[in-house]
Amino acid sequence: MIKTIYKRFDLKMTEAAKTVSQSFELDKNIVAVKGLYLTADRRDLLYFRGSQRIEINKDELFPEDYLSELLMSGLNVPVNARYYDLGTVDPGNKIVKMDFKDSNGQFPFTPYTVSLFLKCDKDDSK
Amino acid sequence: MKKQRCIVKIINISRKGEVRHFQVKVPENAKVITGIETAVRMKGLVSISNNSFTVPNIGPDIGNPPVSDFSPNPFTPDFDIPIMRSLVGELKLQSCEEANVFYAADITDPSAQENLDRIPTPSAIIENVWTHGYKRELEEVLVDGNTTVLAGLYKDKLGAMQNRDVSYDVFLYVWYKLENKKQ
Amino acid sequence: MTINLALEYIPRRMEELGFGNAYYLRFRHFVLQPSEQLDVPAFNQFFILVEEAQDVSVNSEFGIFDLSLNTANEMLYEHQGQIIIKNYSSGLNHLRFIQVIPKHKMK
Repeated sequence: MIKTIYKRFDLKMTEAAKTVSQSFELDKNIVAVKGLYLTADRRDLLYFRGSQRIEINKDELFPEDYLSELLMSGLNVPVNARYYDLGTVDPGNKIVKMDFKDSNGQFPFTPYTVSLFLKCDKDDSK
Repeated sequence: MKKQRCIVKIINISRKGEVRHFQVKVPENAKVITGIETAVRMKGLVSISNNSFTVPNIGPDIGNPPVSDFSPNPFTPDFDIPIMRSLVGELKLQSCEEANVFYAADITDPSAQENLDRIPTPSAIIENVWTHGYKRELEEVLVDGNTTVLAGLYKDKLGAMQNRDVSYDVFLYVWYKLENKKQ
Repeated sequence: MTINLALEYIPRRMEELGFGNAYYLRFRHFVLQPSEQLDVPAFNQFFILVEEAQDVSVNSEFGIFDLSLNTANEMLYEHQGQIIIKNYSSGLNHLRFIQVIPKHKMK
């Protein structure tokens, strides 16, 4: 049976104006990635300083310099519409990689944690 | 394999009223260009325009720089709500082929709080774009991907309206679909 | 742009845009009064600027030609759409274009 599940991956930014790369692995029985959502414990820093490259199974979803603000949706968006629709992405080797870049901008830096949420289809029968 | 890719183009603007022509290279394996997304990132502080309207006795002081917590600010009487302009510039894209000029749009900065859609009310929560922002959708286009190069034109409006040099980056994202060849 | 360059450029450009051979050519020479502003509605047409153009600005859909402008990084010679021509000189000024008019029906 196919179920919808949500996976969360955190990436800590501890230094200003740096790029941090991190790989995450999805569960073995995940068959598709349907959507994603980006947030942080400091959403203002994420909005004004963040950009990221995201790839799944070595397939690039978003290129470097894709601003984080384009993947954020706030409280004014209906809850069911908040996730970015990816269609159906084949998880392949189940490895999700995010290269998150912090750039100097209007807001001064303090360490923050970026959270990537993935909406996935999980096949229980496998 | 995922069939949609994205090209990034960053345009640096530093003078008021700047008119910038640029070219975006479209890869060989692009079959059709499907969407355009844009964003702006200011460098340095953005000035608040001289216009403002005075609202007596209600609401928190929104004149302070945005804070990330939701704690209410103490009420202040007779404060001015500054109007920050959101229009930054004008962008146009032209294909080398039949499509010619296929995209024209105003680039806006959603973080500029114009507050034009809001009636000032006593409210404990300040609505900021990073907490209450609307979802950003890409604009769909359908242009033959054979055009090796897209010509672009960007005109600065923010600096021209404020009559001073402003410094910012315009991010242009061109989404395209790949050829159906197996890779 | 010299007229020779324009005449070599136009057939290739029209081919790129999908018009092939189906267009008319006209040579236009505008005489502008001191400080005159001229509006030329050139929708579905192309005006290629040729020869000298001093003390004048040509503004259209995809760019500007104005040698005195210091905020543009490029000048545009191929104009289309609503073209606005301004004569900065306090005397008469002359402006030459080759007007390319794609036909309505392509044979």
